[in-house]
Amino acid sequence: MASQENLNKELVAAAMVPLVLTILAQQENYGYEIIRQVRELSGGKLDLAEGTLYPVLRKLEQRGLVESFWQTAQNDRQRKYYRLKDQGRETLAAERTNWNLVNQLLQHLWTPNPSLT
Amino acid sequence: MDSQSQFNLTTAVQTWLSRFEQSGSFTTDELQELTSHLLDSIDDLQTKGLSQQEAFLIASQRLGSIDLLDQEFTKLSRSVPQQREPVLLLLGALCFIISKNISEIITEYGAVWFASYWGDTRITLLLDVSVCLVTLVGLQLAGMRLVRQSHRLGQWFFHQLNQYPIGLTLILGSFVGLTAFGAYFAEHSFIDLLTMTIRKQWINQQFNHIHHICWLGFYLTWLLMFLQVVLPYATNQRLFTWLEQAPVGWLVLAGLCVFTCCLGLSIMGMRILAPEDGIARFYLSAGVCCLLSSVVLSGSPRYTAFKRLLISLAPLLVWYILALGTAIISEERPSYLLLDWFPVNFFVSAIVGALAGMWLGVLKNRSRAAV
Repeated sequence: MASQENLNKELVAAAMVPLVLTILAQQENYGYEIIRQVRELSGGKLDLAEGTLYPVLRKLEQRGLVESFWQTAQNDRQRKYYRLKDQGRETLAAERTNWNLVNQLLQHLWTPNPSLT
Repeated sequence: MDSQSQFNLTTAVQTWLSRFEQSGSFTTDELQELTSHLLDSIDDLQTKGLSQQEAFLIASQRLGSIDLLDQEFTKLSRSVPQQREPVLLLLGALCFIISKNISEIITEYGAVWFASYWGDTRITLLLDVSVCLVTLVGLQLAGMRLVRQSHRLGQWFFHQLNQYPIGLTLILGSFVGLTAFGAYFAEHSFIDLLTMTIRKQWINQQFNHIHHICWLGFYLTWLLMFLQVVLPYATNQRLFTWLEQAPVGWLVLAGLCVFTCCLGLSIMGMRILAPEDGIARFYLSAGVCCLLSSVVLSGSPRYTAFKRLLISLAPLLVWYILALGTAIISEERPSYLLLDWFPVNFFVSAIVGALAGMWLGVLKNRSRAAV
């Protein structure tokens, strides 16, 4: 039942924005590192095509939540870094409230009712 | 060790990259970013003890298939910077005039040249038709393939557009002037040929007709290119993706356009091939139109097979009712639209076309799934 262990695609897509924003809130970062962190934190359960991160980043950039700049790494490789803007922080706070709300709701519903016996 | 020494990472990455470049959905910036990601990923996997080849394979697979990424990147709205839009519009108009002039030069000089060698024969006609077709197909392919940001010519074009928009406009403008001269002389020698044809009383006085087809094709080609460019801006989707998901009303309208185009083409075609039998063109157009629409619709997940059949047939019904209405109002004698089993033949050929289209569509989907 390998398919059961991986999260479904819609959920992953929906969670991408808060995940990326949260990682960028810690420090400015580049695509590969962002995806590596996501993969590592989820223990490999969040299985997604890594390339699909970039359209998400591009959309965030278009919405004015993050900004990007090229930087040369130690091994002379060019990397595109992303930095969270103030508007991004606000959006992250709002996302956080929303996800907490959903989480609380589900937790409440899933908690077993106190038995009468 | 042999397979490892044969594997060349630089070549492999280049091949991988060139497939992304060809798709045309990625900007240079994004390609650079994806390449950097791939290389980082390969490095990481290699430190875990994988060979270069294994690392490349896994890294490129993790990054995602080209189809998937192409799909995701196409969804992004790519707005052209505001000040560039009027320039792009002007350049588009210039390109249109240039391509019109060039195809005029090729087809009309071609016709004159063939007539001077083969005289008044079917060979001349066939050669002329094939030159017209090759010109149109070349125009379409050149338009869609060459002027992409990833191709060298496209890269040059967009580089000039960014750096020297005025210079680019001047270059294209002078090109318009040059080709206009060519087109002027081509048209003159072509008209000379036509008047000569009339004087000599040749049997196949069909050059003019062929050039009507050629021009119809030319404008259709441009319409197609225009749609392919404008639709992604307007709806964020490509032409065929849009058609696969469009609401029924738009589909019927699009079908009506296709049918009119088929009818126009077949009118010209029948005049050349069989001038005495004019009615068959309606059956032919109906069949071809339904075939095309049902092939396009076959990828649509929204409609069942029966609904797709109905959607392919609906434009013809609309056309028939419209044509019948105008014919009854304007013509005193009974219209041929009602005579000689016309409606039966018309719709039977339409249904046959649609079914053949659905069959082709199934084949297309199967080969897509196999890939």
